[in-house]
Amino acid sequence: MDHSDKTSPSEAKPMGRRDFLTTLGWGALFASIASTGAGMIRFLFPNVLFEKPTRIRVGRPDDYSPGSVTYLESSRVFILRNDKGFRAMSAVCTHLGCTVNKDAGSNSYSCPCHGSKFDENGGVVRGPAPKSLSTCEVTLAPSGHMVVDLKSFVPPNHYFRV
Amino acid sequence: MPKEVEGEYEVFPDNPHKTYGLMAVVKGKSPVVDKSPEDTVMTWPHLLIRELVASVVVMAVLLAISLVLNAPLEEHANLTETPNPAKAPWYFLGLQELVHYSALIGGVIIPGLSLFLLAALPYLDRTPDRAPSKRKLLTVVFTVFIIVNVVLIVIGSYFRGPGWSFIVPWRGGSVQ
Amino acid sequence: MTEIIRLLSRFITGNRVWKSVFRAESPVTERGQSESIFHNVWLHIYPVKVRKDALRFTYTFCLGGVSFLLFLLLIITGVPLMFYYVPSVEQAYGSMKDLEFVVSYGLLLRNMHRWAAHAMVITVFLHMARVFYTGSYKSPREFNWVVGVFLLALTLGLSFTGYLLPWDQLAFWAITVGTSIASYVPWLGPSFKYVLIGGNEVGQGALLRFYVLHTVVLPLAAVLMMAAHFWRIRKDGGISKPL
Repeated sequence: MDHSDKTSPSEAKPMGRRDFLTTLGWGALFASIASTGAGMIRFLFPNVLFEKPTRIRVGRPDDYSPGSVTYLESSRVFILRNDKGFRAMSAVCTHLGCTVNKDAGSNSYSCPCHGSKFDENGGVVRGPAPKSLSTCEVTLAPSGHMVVDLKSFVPPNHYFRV
Repeated sequence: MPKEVEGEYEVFPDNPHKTYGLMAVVKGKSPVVDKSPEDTVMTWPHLLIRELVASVVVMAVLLAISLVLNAPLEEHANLTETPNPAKAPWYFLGLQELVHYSALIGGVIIPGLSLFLLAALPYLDRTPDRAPSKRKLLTVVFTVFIIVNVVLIVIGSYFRGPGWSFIVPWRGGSVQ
Repeated sequence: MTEIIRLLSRFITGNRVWKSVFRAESPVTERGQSESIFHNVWLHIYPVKVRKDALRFTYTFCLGGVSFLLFLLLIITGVPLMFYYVPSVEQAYGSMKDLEFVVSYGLLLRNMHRWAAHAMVITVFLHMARVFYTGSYKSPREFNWVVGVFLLALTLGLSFTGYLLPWDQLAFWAITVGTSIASYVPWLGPSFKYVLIGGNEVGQGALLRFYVLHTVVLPLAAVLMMAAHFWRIRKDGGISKPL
């Protein structure tokens, strides 16, 4: 660098042509590297996923008897029916995503990975799970089938009535 | 220094294999400052032959183990059925044990912090002496770190049964 | 008998081809031994002379060297496995079964790969403990310790990514749990998990990403870090003196 001008720093001189071009050059280099890097990171986020649909048809309301708990294995969701209506409770543990099992002989649920326990409404009884099992939104399709949206959640006291 | 005499003469004969030359002869123990007289041996053969022996031993042991023990392979992956208990590889069972208490604290904060402290160790440690007895506190902390790691891995491997419940392996608890 | 060996070795090492490959004199003189080191691209990272006390087995227990050897063995066993392994959700498990039951020595190679990986985690950890207890991380070796910590993390990363590839129950749930932990990282966690497994749940995207990480990205990173690690040993004055 050429430091030939001996003016004191307080006298702010306008930037010389050489300094300006040097700054511009370095700036352009870093900007291009940064934007390439940002593009590279964006590239890693897939836009289209070949995953299973999150809206699934689960049959007609009459397929479920009152007071029953039905586990739909491929969708990892429990369909609960009681006198208040229908509730689709996700079987994905809120801790680290394992599949919870319904305990034999009782209406409670437990996770095999880290030992979380949930009561009959999906509330946490004990274990590391930070929140209760999610409740998915249930709607009725014009065909008369119930549709569960696995990615749309409603409060646990929200029951679907036919 | 002798005065330069006219004409050329060779002090040391030219040797194409030599990449060094004798510059001066000085009195003293060693040209290396602050070090005792050199006590070195040639890398070839002394170091290399030791490394060869060590390599052969390691490879023989690995081959022997691989002939006797088969690597585990369970059933095909199945999203709908979580095995009970579902365990991570053994070197992550300490982490899984921590995660069992809290995913954020046990799974992210504690491991991240310990990895950071581990990397920063040489800059945090200002004790001048290398001997463990001269840096007792640090030695104790590091030893505790290692022991906690091992204990957590052992607990995760042998003392955790279905639903991550505590079991005692020698009392009929099933160990996988 | 000794005459035959002498003649044979002269026949092998006395010709122009050998001499063009190995420019060293025969390593019977100190000069020949020096040249054997610094005229060889694979050995020239060694110093020509080493301190006698650095050779003591009970000082280093060869742990760093054994870790490196295991890494080489993992490459030697891992690359052939790639010829049969197909990283797709439909075929991965089947190719593991093929390796186990159909491919000649496939089971042996897979066993060696698996056990060498476990052994490497242990030796890297013990190597770190040795370096700590001998205080060898102290000046001027501070930075090499940091490189070592990165290598420890890379070793664990290589093990973790390799764990998913068989696509069995053990693999699937270990990775489901492991990547869910990542999503607990504040702010960036969920995005990081999404990028790592290439989607919302462990599936084809995750398998392919872990495969690429396991066979290309992480080994390359480890090789580069190891090069820096070994070079720094020389530049920091060889391995530390025994206490």
